Amino acid sequence: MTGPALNDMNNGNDDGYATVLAIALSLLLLTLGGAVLAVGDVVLARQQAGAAADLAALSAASRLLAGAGATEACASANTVAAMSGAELMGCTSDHEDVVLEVRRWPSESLRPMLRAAGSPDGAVHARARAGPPP
Amino acid sequence: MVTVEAAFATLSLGVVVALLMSVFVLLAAQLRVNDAARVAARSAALGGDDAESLASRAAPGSSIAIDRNGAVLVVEVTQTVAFPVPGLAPVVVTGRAHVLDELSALDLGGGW
Repeated sequence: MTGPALNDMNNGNDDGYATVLAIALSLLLLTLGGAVLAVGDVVLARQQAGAAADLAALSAASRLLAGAGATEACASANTVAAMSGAELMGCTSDHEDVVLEVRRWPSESLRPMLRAAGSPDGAVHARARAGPPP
Repeated sequence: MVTVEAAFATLSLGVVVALLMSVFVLLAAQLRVNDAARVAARSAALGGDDAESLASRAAPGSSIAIDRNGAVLVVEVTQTVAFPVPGLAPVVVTGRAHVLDELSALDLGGGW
């Protein structure tokens, strides 16, 4: 005689099946939600770094256009970048053009992820150029 | 029994899916207002008077406030986000951008 069929062990009823399935799916979706939040945080940091770089470059370029030197222009860019929550990492001017780079920190917990993704310091970097139209 | 259980399970799954959708909606709205604040600030820094229309084009239904603090302009674009989920209260998202008023800096600084 063989052992009881699997169903017999559970008296043949399916109680609990839907709950298990729902919990599994919920966990999957919540994990997905967590991933979306993480990516969202980086995307927002990236966007804000881009905005900071753009506005800082704009400021520096208008200083240059007004006759200021590169040092003064880059100081202005530094001010704007700092106001935007970013750090000015480099600023060079060539005639009336300014090229600069800023970085912005995403949430602490995401920095290792960014390091793994190729950012040496775990920050998001953005570059911008501004100057009179060619 | 199984039917009732499945009903509850489906309901709770629906709630989780709705939350996930809300995260997307919120993120998209935040990106929009940030962008709107950026383009508006860019224009305001150069003395443009189209900051408002630029912002409302970038983030339809948003409202903009430009705060002048010396040579510093703070542009704030706010928008009320309604979620595609019944029962979730709308949330206000704010995008902020800081610039220097380049024109006033020119006037103030003389040689600038």
